[in-house]
Amino acid sequence: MKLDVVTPEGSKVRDEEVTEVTLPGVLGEMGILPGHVAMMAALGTGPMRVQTAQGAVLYAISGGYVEVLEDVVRVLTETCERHDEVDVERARGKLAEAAQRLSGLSPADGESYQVALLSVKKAETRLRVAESGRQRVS
Amino acid sequence: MATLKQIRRRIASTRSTQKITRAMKLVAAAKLRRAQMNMERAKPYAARIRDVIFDLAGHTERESHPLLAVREEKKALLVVITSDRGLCGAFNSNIVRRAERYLRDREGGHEEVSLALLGRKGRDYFRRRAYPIRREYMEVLSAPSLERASEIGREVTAEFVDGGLDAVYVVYNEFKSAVAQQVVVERLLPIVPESDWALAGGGAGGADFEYEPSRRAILDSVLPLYVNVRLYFAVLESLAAEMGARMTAMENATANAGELIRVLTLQYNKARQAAITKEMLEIVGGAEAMR
Repeated sequence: MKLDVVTPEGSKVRDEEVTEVTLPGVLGEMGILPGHVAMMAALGTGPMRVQTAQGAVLYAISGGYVEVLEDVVRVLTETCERHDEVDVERARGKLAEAAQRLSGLSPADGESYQVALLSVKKAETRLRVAESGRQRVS
Repeated sequence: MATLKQIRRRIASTRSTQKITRAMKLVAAAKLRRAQMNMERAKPYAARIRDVIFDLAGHTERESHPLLAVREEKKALLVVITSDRGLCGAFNSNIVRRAERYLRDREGGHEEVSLALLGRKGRDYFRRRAYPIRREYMEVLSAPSLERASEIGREVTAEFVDGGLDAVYVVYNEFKSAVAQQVVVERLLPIVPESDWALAGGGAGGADFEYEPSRRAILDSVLPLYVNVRLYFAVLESLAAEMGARMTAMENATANAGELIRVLTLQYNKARQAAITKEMLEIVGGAEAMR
């Protein structure tokens, strides 16, 4: 099946032949294999794993949706970074800053708590993706 | 009349000004290209979001979603996008004038309009006047990113959902070409999917989809992205327009400096000739007297 990933920075993956895609759905991880029924799903923040005949590649993605139709997987997401594109220094800084912010908040703070929580999650995802990408290479 | 030295000094200073204006023009041209490139990149993304919203929103009851709900617009927010730096011709004054007219003439028919000012120039202007400023965001155009636009989008959306605002409008400079900008006022919230939205994406159309977890949840996650990307586009358009305006302004400044140098050089030569003539007359006069 084919995979397409669109982000505000342009097309991240274009028409790539893949054998399996694992995505962070809002309700949990979901895997998509060829022959999947037509589906649309909301995406959360987490790693996207793309399996091709050449091997697997990890991306850190956040938000958006996925649409599966006739063996074409279309992902639309706000951020998408391949494991080797992650700016680890920056992600570390963001994580520290967001965690700091989060520690001063409680779920009762509503919006700002959610925002801080999301920042933590985004940074953690980036670091995790970068980390596992490095392990695979070495 | 100015002495030779003074004229020489003025020519030199005009020359160095010209060097600066020429460099600023080149920098503006490069930044303009970058802004345009970012817009090109984000276009398919924005179009896809639009399509999917149109598909999904068409099937849910409009009033049920907070970001789609049209209610009586009593309290509105006007987001005014100006630049942080000057020397860009009428770019900022056009925007500020348009925004002020909107407020003065109660164009939207709102009972109350407050401002969200993006950019130093707009802030400086409106702070000196008695308008309710709700938010200020500086240095957005100087380093445009979706992340920054999303921050603003999130804050504005939260306020809209809370009921603190009934509508959000954006006034910004649309980039027509490097020499033409047009000030536009657009509605950001509520999102009104219009029938002229192209369904070119060939998205959800007629197919029988399984929704996970639900249509509504997908809409929930996509609608805020649309607000963010629209703001991002407004920022990029403004940036491109700002750079276009600066290019024109700096080109004129460079030409004016050239003209000034020409006039000054002429003056300088005249003064020099006059000085030589005078000196010669003095010598001749002196020689005459000695005879």
